[in-house]
Amino acid sequence: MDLFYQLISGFAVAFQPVNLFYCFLGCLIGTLVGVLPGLGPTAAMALLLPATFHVAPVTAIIMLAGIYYGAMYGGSTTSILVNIPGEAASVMTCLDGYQMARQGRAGAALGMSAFASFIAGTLGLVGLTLLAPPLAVFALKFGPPEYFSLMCMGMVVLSFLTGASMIHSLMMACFGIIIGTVGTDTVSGSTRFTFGLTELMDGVGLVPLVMGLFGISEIILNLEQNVDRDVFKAKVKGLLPTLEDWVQAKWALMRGTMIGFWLGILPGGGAVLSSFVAYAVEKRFSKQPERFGTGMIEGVAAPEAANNAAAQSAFIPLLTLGLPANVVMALLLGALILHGVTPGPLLLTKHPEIFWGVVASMYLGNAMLLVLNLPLIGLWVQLLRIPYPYLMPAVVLFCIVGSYSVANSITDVYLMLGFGIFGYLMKKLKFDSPPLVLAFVLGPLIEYYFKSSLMFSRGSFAVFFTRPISLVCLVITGVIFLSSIISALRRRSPGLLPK
Amino acid sequence: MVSALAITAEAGRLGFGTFGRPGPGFLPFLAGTCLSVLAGVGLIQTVVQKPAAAAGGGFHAADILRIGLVSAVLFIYVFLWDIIGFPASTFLLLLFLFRCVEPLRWRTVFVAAGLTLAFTYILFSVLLGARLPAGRLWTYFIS
Repeated sequence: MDLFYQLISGFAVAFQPVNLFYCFLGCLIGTLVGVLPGLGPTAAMALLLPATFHVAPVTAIIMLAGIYYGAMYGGSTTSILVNIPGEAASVMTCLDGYQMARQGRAGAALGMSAFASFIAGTLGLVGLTLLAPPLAVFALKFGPPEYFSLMCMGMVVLSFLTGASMIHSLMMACFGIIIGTVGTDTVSGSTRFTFGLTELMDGVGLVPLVMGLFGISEIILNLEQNVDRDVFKAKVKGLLPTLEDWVQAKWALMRGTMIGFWLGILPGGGAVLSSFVAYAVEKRFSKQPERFGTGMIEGVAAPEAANNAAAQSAFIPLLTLGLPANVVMALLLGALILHGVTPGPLLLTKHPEIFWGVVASMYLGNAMLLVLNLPLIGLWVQLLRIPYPYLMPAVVLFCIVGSYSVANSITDVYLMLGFGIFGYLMKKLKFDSPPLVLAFVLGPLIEYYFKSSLMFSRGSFAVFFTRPISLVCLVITGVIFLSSIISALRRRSPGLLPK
Repeated sequence: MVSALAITAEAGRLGFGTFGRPGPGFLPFLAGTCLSVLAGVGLIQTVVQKPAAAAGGGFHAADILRIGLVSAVLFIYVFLWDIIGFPASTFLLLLFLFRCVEPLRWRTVFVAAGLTLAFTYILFSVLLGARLPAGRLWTYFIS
């Protein structure tokens, strides 16, 4: 009953006109970002972060969250109509969605995608509502050693899951930690890696880093690729899936939701991985696996349900433990800290209006997205027809002015451009950026918890191994680390290790 | 690997402290050491790997030229903010991007650059209150 009253109080916050407006704005921008290939939700959120400094923290998070789950909805439109994923989590939707469009069933594919997103998103939110409060109570048992071990586990799992090479991902994570230490050390007051520049005394900003790595680098990468968009020409009609479509897709939708929900909670899981796993599972469960990729409605329902459920459940570790499960959540963690709010188990008791306000706004946002994505589909199709040469200069300018406007600092703009070129080179050399951003955001927290643990134990590392939760996290970290080494050795020399 | 070693050396200079009282260089030193080790492993892997497998994403001369040009223009553009101000430098940048990256007709270029500049200025300066640089050159002429 207590949960019900808290949720009602959350709706009271979410229904305030200003929050309702920002929720709609976030969903609208998210859909736009999802529809237009090239600028993902991470870059869009970083770009709009400065715009949220003038509003209350709850309003800011409502809008930023809206961009994230809105992009999950919008990404499928481009996948189905253009065969180019609007953003990474919609890659799998291309396979069957585009084939359905070619067979004259674009409307059914778009409709199923929107309904699957809505149903999975709402079920994911119910899970978030039920699971977050007990997890927050459990997290009260966590001290600095547990948090340190948990964050290490999060970084290693993310490194393990994101990139093709674990070494590359771990190198990026180490580099992220080092960038995170730039500036004045809060304990000793000494400056680190500032090269004598006063502009770096406060450290490297999150916005220039993310805008550079995800915005500018993507644009530079697009400069060497022709971004031709052959938009599906036929008129989109019949957006409501038929009864037969529903019968075919119902279990795919449910399985996708479950997979997305649980993978979304795991560090490194998130929307992208869940959509891949959901599609693979569906293909294995199907009686006609050979027909996947030819326009099966299950191939649209499962990945779309998974990525939307994951987008909602990823908020659980962020809001209850203060641990971001993916790079978007790391950005939200940074946004909360910039607004003076520390996410974690105390968020529920100290700032219930933020926790429940954001959760309630997500229920409303899901409903708004259904309206935005079905009746307004014609508008998004027209947007897809805007040529890339018109969009690119505007995106470059937005990245530059956006990173400047955070602190009115030209140094931030130079940093962003530098990170943009660095990000481009890393993409070309097959290094992934998400571990760097996650480590950058978690770096100062890891340092704080690591130092606190060692001071508390008078310099004994045993503190990390004698506390059960910390030990479990470290064992999982070790197992993942070892398994990646063994699999790398197996790939290199097949006869070296027994199966 | 060289960068990683330099970071480790700088972190060591900052002061490692003790395990009971870690200093400001403690975490950067650990991260730098890990980075050095991983870079070393990566280097060995690249040397041992067959050349075909070790090949990266591939850099083409024409792409490098175009990307280098755009990057240089962006740095010059930001440098010009302080001198000729945001509106003038942005208009020049937009002319370059609209015309040179994917050639469009001059009339389209001017209209698109003007509209994009107006939209960005209204959004960031008027609505969001960002203090966009006016440029020393104009203030010099005015005074």
